[in-house]
Amino acid sequence: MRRLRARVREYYSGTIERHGPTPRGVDWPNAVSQYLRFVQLLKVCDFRRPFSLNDFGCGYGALLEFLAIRHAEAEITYRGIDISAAMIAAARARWAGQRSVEFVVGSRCDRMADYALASGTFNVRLGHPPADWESYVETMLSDLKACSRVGFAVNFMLPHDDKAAEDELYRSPPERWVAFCRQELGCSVRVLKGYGLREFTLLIRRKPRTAAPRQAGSRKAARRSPR
Amino acid sequence: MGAFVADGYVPHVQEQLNSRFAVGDALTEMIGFQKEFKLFSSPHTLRSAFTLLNIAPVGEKDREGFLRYLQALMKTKADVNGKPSDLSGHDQILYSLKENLECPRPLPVYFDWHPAESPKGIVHVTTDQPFTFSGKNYLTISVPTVRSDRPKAGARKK
Repeated sequence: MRRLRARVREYYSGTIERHGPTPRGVDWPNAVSQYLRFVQLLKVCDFRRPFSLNDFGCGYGALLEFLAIRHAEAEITYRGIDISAAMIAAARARWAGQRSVEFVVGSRCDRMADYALASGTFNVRLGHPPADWESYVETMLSDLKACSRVGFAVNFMLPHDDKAAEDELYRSPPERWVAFCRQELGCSVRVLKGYGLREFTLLIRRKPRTAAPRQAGSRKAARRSPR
Repeated sequence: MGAFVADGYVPHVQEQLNSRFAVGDALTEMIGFQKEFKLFSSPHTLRSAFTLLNIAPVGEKDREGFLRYLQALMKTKADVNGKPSDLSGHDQILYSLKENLECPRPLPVYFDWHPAESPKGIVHVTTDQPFTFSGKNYLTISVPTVRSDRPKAGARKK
């Protein structure tokens, strides 16, 4: 896992050095596709009330750009986390002085927030065997759940219709990760797809805690109560 | 284009444009972008839409030249399937892209160039089959270009 994370760190430090704080710098082809992903991921959030947000794999903080355009009135305490120190340096430079915003270098969410998002963080597997990559994704999803009070959202690329997956990329049908989130994480899951990109987004919510079921014996005892 | 962008970059921009609107995933993406962001509708311009789509030559000077060229299309005329349009070349391109992407069965788009001199500076929009090897219909948008070595207007009069 350590070697895998080191490769991911090296890869994204390279993209930001080559292209600067632009969509290409975080390996997206353009701003519009980046924004369309944010539209889907942010559907996990309730914008009617203030909330805190962990943006895992935040890059140079492009999500803040989009929030300023689409949700300028929203009160959000934002924490951007990225494995690449070069990305975080670019983000800090770009968003210096912004209120309720902080950026930290890290390979996992280390602080609780209402919501967490991860856009595109599972797409580039850099030639690692799919099984190793899936194990990494499972760890990250468990971590996102552990740090999210209400819920979190992630996206994955869908397989091609007519050709095999690229060695460098990770593609998956939704069922694999819907099952994991429902069965292993015990969350409710909504799948979004068909919004124009060859991918799907999962909106994953913690299930509300329910009271422990009463035992038959205790119910009988209650009926017998003199009250 | 020639006067705004180095000759070598013009085919490169054409390739970017045609890839972005090609049959398959690319066209599906453009339909999604239009649905969510109304990319080819006012207040967007071709300049802002293509900037967001990251369609431009690589060099800063040529990039700026391309964006100035898109602005210059506001001063050109347009025709659609041979009939003159009331819109400028720029606005006709935006309108045609919007109509196409929002219709029930959007067509892929093929961008092409033609000499600007005769008739002077007109954007041609057609629905046709631009490739001899394919029977597939495209929305074809051909924009006027001038040669970069063309003598300046004042010089020609002398």
